[in-house]
Amino acid sequence: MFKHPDRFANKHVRNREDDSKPGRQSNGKMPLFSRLTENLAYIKNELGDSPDIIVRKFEIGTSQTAAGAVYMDGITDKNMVNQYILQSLMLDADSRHLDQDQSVLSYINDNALSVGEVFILKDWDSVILAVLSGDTVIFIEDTDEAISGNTKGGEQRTISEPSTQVVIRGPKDGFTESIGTNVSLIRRRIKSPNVRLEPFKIGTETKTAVAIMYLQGKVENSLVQELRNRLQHIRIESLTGSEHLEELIQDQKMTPFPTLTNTERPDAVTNHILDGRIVIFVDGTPFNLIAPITFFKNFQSVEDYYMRPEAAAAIQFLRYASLLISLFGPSIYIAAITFHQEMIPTPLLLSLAAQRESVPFPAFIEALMMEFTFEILREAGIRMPRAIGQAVSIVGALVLGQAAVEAGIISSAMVIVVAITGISSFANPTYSMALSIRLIRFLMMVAAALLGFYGIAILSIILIAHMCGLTSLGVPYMTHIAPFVPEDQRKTLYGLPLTKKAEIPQTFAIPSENETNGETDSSPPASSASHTEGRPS
Amino acid sequence: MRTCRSFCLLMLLSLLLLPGCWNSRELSDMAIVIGIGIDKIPDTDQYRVSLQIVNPGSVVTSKSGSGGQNLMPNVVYSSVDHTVFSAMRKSSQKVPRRLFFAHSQLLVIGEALAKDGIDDLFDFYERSHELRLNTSVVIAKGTDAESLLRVLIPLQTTTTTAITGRIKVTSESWAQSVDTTISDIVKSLVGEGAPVISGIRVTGNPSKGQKKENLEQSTPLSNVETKGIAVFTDGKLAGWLEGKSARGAVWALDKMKSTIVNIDCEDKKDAMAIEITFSTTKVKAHLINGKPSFTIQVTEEGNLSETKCPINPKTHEVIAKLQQQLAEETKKEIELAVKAAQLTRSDIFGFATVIKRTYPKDWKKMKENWPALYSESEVKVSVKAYVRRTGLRFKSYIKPKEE
Repeated sequence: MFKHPDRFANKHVRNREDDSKPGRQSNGKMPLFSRLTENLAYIKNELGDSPDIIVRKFEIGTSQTAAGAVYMDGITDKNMVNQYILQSLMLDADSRHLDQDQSVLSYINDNALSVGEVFILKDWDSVILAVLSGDTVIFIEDTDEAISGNTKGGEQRTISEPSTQVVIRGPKDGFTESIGTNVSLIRRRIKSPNVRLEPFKIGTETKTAVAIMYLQGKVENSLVQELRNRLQHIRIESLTGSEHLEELIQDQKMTPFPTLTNTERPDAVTNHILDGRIVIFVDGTPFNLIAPITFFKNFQSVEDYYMRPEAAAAIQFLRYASLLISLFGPSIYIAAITFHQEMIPTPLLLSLAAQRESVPFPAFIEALMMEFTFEILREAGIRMPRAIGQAVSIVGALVLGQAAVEAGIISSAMVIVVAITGISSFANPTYSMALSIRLIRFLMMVAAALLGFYGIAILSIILIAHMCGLTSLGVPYMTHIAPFVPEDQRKTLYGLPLTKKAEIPQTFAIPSENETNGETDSSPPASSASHTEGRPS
Repeated sequence: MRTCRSFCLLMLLSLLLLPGCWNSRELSDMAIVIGIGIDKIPDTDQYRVSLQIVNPGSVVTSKSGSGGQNLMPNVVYSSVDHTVFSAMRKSSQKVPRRLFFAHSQLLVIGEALAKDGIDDLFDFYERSHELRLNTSVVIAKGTDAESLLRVLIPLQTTTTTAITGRIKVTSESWAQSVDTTISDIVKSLVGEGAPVISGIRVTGNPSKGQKKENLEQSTPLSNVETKGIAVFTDGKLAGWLEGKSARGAVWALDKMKSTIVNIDCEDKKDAMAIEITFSTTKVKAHLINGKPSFTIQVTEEGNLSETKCPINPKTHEVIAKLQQQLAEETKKEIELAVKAAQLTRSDIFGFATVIKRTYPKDWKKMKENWPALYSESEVKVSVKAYVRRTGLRFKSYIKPKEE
């Protein structure tokens, strides 16, 4: 079991405490009572007298000072509570020290509590947050301050192999739902003092821990500042996953394309950080966000880093080809077969015509039916219990594929087209990108059915124009193509990762609007000085 | 503002729906025309246009298909009208589907029409967006185009593919016919030359060839084969080049890809086969005393492929002798072709174009009586022949007779 103390929560509390020190009362924050029973009764009441709130009254050491420990069952490490909080306070605390000038609180803080992270809390908000985050809070008789000790723990999923992004050759660990575990996985990989981690709390109800991590000197400061601003300006009740956060911080909302990518692989995140990107960890999900990304980054897999560059480049090419097939496959077939029969070689046309002799539907309806069926099959396959999976594939393959062809409802060429399209869309390493391509494919089919290749061309032009207008954290989505940066295409487009592995893409050095492209190459302005130093060679 | 914009966008998008599926055609509603035959109705100025429509169901043999092999591979519909296009459209009275011409691969011209003149036939081909200019053209030798298209041919799915296949293969490997496309013909009709078109004739019993039983014989009752090259004068069929003179014409036209030339060996006639692997032809024009004369220069390479006599081509002398014989044979064939072409006054080799390029000023004077000048002009043929390889061995196993 991995129990990583959630530093983000406490740090946050401390910050807030420091901030609120001068005018606590005026801030509307409710101070603690001085009487122990009042405090304990209040917190019980505030949390709805929930049975998983454990309140333990005791006396400190041999003295007569009464104290109470409050913690939440299930999210605390019971051993820690028993051994390091209760035992040290009840048994090990030496009453002789209490006679001195020192207050009970500072004695506990300085001498008695053998826990790594200890904070002094002064208002109820921070107390309740601490309890709900898995800390143990200790109230002391006649003291209007409380002490929290970090006892976070409880059951967590262990680190296991990522199930959605599988590689053949590469590390087998994947992120878990715990943000602490996730951060530690990256810390283990990059032992650089330049790694920066900044915590955030998002959601008024969920208070989800969010953290951004980047490599100081590799990433342009304005990018980090921009991301900070966006995160700080989120005003929502709950944040349940990185998908939700992605929606909240993306640059453009009206787009089918993901402008942030996500991964559950620590090695992928490591590469992103080293390449000068920012990672956004969200507590409660193994999928962490990466920004800024370009369109082409969606077609790279970490696997590319573990292959020979030649093979990686070839496979990269394959992925682009599969992108084109999954986007245009059915629409090109529809267009060719209903508008541009003269483009099909005669023997092929005759073969297609023979297959379509008995098919009662227009090609578009036929394609729509098959694509629709395929999407249903795919969706069913994902949501179903694993045990029924085989039944679905049998029904899908035999009944829908073969039987439909033999019954003369669907032509076999259409089955081939739909099948290759479906397989191609699985070849995309980024699931969210594959999802958008799936949607656009249907639009393409409609365009092809209405206007043939002309329609496909129109829609493609609209799509490309739209993509050129997209940005990811202010960096153009089509970077390296538009704006055109040929030096960086080597890595981004042709996927030659090893040769230029540690180098930051040029475009990331010029993200702000007031800088012109030419300036950065010849004489870097002051703002990107740190970045230039951090660059290898 | 925002609602207005999205409304306008919606309106614009719905414009897309207005044309419906503009110009869209379903495959199952189309009759794919694969070959077209044009004949002349005697004593009128009407054409009979025959459309060969392929039956896709018979072409593809799939187990789910309905019967496959039992269907006729192609159907021919004919209609008569004054223009080619109206005759084609008239066929819609007989054809249950929309005619689709973009895949027509062959144009067959009946011999009667060819004799009458083909100058005005191709305008429709140039204008139409469906018909292709790279369609092959053949002349139905000794018959009309319709009955040629009606012959069912084993091995190939349709008569058209059978004919285009023969033309392509034989013009490349035997070189006694030419693969002429419509754009070639139009070019030569517009320019100074004259077109050459291969002939196709029906062998055996043509009426039996139209029936399915023709497909069920190992020796077809009726078949089609390439035969000769048609020579045109003023757009009219003037004569045929056949056999060696046809090959000579192909040589002179610089269209020689490969052929087999038989040459003599000591006392045996035509006892050695030489495969031509490369050949290039240049034509040069000279004016001597105002009279044009031409030199046809051929450079060719070949391999010794077969011999019936005991030669040992290991020595240079033997090879040199082979080369000389080959050159002589080539020269003979080209001279045959030139003589035949000059006799019909048909400038199939494009000599006029050569003169025009070399002596542009003199050409204007000659233009008037070019056919006469052409038929009397002197043509020299010089051939450089090389025999490069002798196959997998030098000396033949055949022993000389003296031993």
